Amino acid sequence: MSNEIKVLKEGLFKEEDGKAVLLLGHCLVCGTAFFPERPFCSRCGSDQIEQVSVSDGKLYSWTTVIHPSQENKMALPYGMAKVDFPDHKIRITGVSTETDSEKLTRGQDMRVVVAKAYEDEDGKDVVTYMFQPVEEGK
Amino acid sequence: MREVVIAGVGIHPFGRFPDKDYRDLGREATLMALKDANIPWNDIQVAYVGNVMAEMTKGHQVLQYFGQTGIPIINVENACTSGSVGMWAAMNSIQNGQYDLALVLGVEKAPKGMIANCGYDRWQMYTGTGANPAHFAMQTKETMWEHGLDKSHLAYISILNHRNGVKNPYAMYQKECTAEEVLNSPMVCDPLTLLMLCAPNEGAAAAVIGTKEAVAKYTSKYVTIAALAFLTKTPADSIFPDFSVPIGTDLVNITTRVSALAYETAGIGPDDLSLIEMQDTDSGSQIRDMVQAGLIKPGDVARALADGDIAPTGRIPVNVSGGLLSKGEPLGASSMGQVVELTWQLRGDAGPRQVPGAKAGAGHTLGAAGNSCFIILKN
Ligand SMILES: [Zn+2]
Repeated sequence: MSNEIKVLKEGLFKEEDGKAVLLLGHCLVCGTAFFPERPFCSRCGSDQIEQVSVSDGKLYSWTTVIHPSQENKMALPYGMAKVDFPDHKIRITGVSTETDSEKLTRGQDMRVVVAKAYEDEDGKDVVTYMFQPVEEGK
Repeated sequence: MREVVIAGVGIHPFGRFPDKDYRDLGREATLMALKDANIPWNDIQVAYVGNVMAEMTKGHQVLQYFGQTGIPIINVENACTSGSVGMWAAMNSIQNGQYDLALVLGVEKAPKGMIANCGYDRWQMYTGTGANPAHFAMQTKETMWEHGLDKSHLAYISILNHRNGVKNPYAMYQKECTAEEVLNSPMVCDPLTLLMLCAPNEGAAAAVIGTKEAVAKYTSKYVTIAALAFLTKTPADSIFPDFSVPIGTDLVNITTRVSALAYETAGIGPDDLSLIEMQDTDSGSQIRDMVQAGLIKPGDVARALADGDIAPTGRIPVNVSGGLLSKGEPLGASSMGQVVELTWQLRGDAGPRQVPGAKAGAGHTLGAAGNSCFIILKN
């Protein structure tokens, strides 16, 4: 039996037509996109914000973390990456599912997935958004 | 606006001092600065104290020991720029005519290991994405791609700063290292190894500043603050805890903006500097920041490093003090450490580290949440 699922934080991501997407804010005044979404534009301060989503991007940079940091609940090692989403001209940082840096290439296709990050103290699987390399032909 | 000068400086070595309290570190640097300026504590009219991690009213705890003179004491916390932001506020209050003499102190007792409480949200910390070295590592990769560099260039920065630190009795590591040692030291986050990252540690540094008229009554060996610029980030700067940045924006990065503001205010450009102290949080950051501050042209990095442009005898000596890689980083004190080094250099008091004939020197700091300061001193 699998554990009950708990979302890391509401408002960061959702499943849409069986596809995981990140939820961004997009400013209707200056066109700037930002993640996570918030009520005021990060560039111009306007409150004219619409929600948009992204799921497919290109790998910009990445690293592998092998040392513990304060409050971290992830198993070591874990990957981190920045992925570009050209549709909304935004680069987003997050956990990468690939922990071997050597296997990654700049500019390769990445997609957003929702996956287990860690098991919480109450035995629930906490899920978050992660970036996953897109395998060829899929 | 009134011209502001540095009357005297003081420092407590950067390192680890288990038997000392932050008060001890701060008081030692303060006393040395007061003595160097030949100005008694009773004549100081306002004090700014930069610190990140100590308790409530830390500046008061350090300074009231010298006498409860009733002056305003302001505690400043702006991450790694805490000291220079204190300096900026003190300078403004003197320029504006509110005070004639001020003390600025930076003091820190930071524990070993990754720095906690950097402004990340809990969801970022729980998923391990609040690990600062991971962000530095990704930025370093981006810098390497942008300028066509490899690991040997990262190692060079560590080797050079450690070699410079050998001549600095106030540095934590006064020991040279080889390329093999740098590249074979434990991997922290690829491509950054342990010897490519600075270590959070303990220390203090202080300066007494004032109008030229007020200071001249006590000492004749002052140096002038030609400019001190302080700015915060825009969305274009990929600085934690932010997790997104717009691509292809026309916004200019923070180091270019803050250095340009200082160059313009001082009427001193990057080509006029005799030396610069930069925030080498890691080897990659120093390379990126040297380009963004206009010291090395974007296509010229590999050549500049190979030709020793930034070595103590080169075109623009960078981190002749040893930088944070050899000194360690006592967060609230590190930028005031730069001010101490620059003041000594411009007075000709830097001993074996002296850059001959130094006339103008700069210090650059960059901190969490996008704080950046750029100071230019001249003699
Ligand atoms: Zn906007």
